[in-house]
Amino acid sequence: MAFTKNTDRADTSDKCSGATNYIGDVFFDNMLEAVTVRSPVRRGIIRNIVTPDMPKGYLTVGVDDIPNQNQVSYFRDTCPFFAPGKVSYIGEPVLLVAGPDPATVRKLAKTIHIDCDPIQAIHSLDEALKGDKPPLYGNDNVYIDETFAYGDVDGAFSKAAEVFETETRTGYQEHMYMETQCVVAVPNGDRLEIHASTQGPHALRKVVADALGWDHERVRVVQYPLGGAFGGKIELPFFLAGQAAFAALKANRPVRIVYTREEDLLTTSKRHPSRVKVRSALNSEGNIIAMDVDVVFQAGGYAMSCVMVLDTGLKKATGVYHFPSARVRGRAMATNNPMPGAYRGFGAPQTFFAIETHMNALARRHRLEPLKFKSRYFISQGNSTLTGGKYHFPVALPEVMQEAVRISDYQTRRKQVKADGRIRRGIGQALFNFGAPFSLDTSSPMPPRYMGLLKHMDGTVEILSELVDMGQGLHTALRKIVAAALEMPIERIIHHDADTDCVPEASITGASMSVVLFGRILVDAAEKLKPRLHEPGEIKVQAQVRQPEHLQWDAAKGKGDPFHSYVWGAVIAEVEVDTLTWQVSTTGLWITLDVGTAIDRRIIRGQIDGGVVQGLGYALLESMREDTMTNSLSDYIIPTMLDTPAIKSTLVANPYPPGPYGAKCVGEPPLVGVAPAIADAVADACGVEVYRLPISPEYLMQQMTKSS
Amino acid sequence: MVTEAVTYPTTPTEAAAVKKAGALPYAGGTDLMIHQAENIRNGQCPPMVFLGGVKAFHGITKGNNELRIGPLTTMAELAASAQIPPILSLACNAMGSPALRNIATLGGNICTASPAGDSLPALYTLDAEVKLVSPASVRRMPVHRFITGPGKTALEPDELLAAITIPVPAQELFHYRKVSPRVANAITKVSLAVSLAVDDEIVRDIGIAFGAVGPTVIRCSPIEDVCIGLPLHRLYRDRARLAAMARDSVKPIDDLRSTALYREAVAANLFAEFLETLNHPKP
Repeated sequence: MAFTKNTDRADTSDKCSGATNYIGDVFFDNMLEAVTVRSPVRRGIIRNIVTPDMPKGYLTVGVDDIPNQNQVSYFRDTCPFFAPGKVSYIGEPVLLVAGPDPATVRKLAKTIHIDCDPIQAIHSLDEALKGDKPPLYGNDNVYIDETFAYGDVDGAFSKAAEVFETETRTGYQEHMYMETQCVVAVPNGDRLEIHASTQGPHALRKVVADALGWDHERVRVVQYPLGGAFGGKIELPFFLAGQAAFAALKANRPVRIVYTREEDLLTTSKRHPSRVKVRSALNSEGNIIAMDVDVVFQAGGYAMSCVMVLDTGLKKATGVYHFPSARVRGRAMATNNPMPGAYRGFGAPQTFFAIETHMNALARRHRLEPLKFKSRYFISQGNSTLTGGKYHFPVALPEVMQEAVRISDYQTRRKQVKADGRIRRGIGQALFNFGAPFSLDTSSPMPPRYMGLLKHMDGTVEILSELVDMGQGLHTALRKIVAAALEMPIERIIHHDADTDCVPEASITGASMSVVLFGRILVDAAEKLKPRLHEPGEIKVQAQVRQPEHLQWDAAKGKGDPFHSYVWGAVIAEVEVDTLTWQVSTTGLWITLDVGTAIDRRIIRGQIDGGVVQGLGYALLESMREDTMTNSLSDYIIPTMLDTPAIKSTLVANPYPPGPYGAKCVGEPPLVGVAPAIADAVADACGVEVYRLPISPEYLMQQMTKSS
Repeated sequence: MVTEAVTYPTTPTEAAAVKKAGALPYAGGTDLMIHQAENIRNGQCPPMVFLGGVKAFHGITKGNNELRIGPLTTMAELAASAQIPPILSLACNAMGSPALRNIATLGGNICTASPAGDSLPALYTLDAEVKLVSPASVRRMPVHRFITGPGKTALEPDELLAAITIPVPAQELFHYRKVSPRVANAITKVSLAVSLAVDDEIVRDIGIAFGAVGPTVIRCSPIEDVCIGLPLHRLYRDRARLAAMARDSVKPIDDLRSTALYREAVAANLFAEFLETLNHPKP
């Protein structure tokens, strides 16, 4: 099946004309606006909260107003809605103030005084590792410590002719969705409605219901259009929805929370800062015989999702290579900072920067052409994964690399003169894969999840799924798949934003799993519906979500196939470095991806262009101090079009049999390889290795000074 | 006591009186809207006086000895004007984004008194003066005396900036470069403006000013004194020594946006880059 035509997205025209109604645009009768009162200290015991007399119609909502549990039930570890008598990070929510006039609410919120006995705070992952301050979590600040390994790593190191070690560091990255976090909670009889900008309507429903101690069915979540998400609208909406729900029930009125940009920057999740040490053991012929990777992520005051993000990053930490032996250890450290969380790439941007930078630096050290050097260790079909699973399907890595080399004219550019007056030129590359979705245990049955199709009286077919179109074009892609399966025009396939009263639970939308996994389940549903299309009346069919048959995953042991499928990719970057200012400008970016069958080339190109620009920002510009969030867009610098070269992208078709018509995923992969490719280009231009993101002019100047 | 949330005067005297009564003056409002955002959301914004209706503050006029620029002239107008010394046009065009330049004014950029204000290094090198009016007085002073510190000016409570004047003819040669964290729409980390008048390859007059490397824009008079009277090729020959002088004259700090070390080094590099252009004074 070839999808030759691009499809116009259903959401485009309203977004372009401004007709789309976001949470910030909606009003409910008697709605109150709520503002969060936050901890002014990083760490301490709350002694007293001094609240002014509230005018009529205004109220505060705090930990005592939580009907059942002060815990976001989605997370395994402690994660409260409001500070539970102690504060674990600066900006932790303590109270809400709600009332009819937003300015009065803000004024009241500013007069509330939170009296804390401060405790020595842990500012960074280095401080958390050092352990000379009272521990924040357990007795060592470690939220999770896990290791994946195969072969005799220690033995290989003991007999190595050469050991090469690198240490890379990466900083926070902010999602910078245009629409800040927002939610409205609306009491309705004995039920509660949550109108939300979220990536997971059903998960949100459970979190709110659990906090209230209600049956899940009493909460209804209505999905609103998202003004961007990038992973940032998975976790935070849990907190906002719970807090708004407590307020709505206390006031018996609708309550809305909309974050200001400053508040969003200062308090919401970001990409985890990281420190990754990579050591390779080489034999006397210069071949790698073992790889040892030690990953540390900086997490925040509570674990939140750091366990999942780290775990996923670790499983990808040996890159596109199969070494004779390998070990990957990872730890996530508790610090008194706001909690980092899910972000496009989910742990992989940090670990791929580490492994690719290590491999590129090693090739330079041995004066070898890096692509040729790296290709010695390429994963091929049938190889085992880090976790002892198998690469079951064809590995298009050589083809992807050759295609990227071809479109970028890499070999010619590599030979070009490096220095031109004050400008130095360099070209770099990075190779990556992206496993998705992550596997669920195959030894026990999956919890029942469904995708549905509903044929209406007028013959149109509605997709019943909670999957979220957050601007990535997912609904259009799913409609296209269903249209193909039913052999119907796509105009007659509908996918509305989710309402948990109407659509079954499937999953949070994220981890690049929607098309490859749920698209396939929709094909199953379509196969059930197709023979019945001619029947009169409404017809509803459901297909149960199942993992593909090739998969073996033992969750308890961490053994088997960690992911269903793998996207393969290569990025080539060309840069110019101004040696007066040490500013890097990216003059060329080429990317080739194997996404399996392409469902819609224009949507894929949109995902590639967006992901690549986000990766460029991560590589060169986006920066916050490890313990101090930046509160304005004049200091948190994201790229504009003037910082971005034309991005040339191509696809290599390597269909994945279990996917819908052979499709894999495209949401996260384009971001992953960009930063290591740019770093390699800068290293090529300047003759110094680049071990930190972002590659700021200040850092580069420092590296150059050190080397000279 | 001002009772209106916003007052709309049409004459300088009226405007100055409202300001004296406690209202916050604004023109383009591009900086004010950032600094007052929280107050506005809290409903605690101070009373404001909008200067856009004051006709006398508009327009560009050329006299015999000086060019007079109304403080309400926008950055976009300055960037496009043929009457303006090119170095000032370039500097104004380097500020912010097109949307900001369309509304931000020169008067606002001066009165904000940020060391990173993009028009300021150019104005310093052009020996620009400001004219200040109050209901009772009119006075003039050089722009470098008007700005007294970060965010601080010599304006009295009842005074407003009424005009910016630049001596004509201005120096004919110039060099300008702004370094900022991204290509456009970003706050300056270091900038250099040089205005130069040359008679037969000899420096007759030179103004050198750095932005964002001290509490105010820094004019490098000691370097200027060394340069005046020298042939251009000498400046080129002595570039290492002069760049070292530039490095010593800046007083940068570490902040969120950069480091003192970087700013110092780049300031010297930018000045060296300017001196290198003098190797070919007549292209």
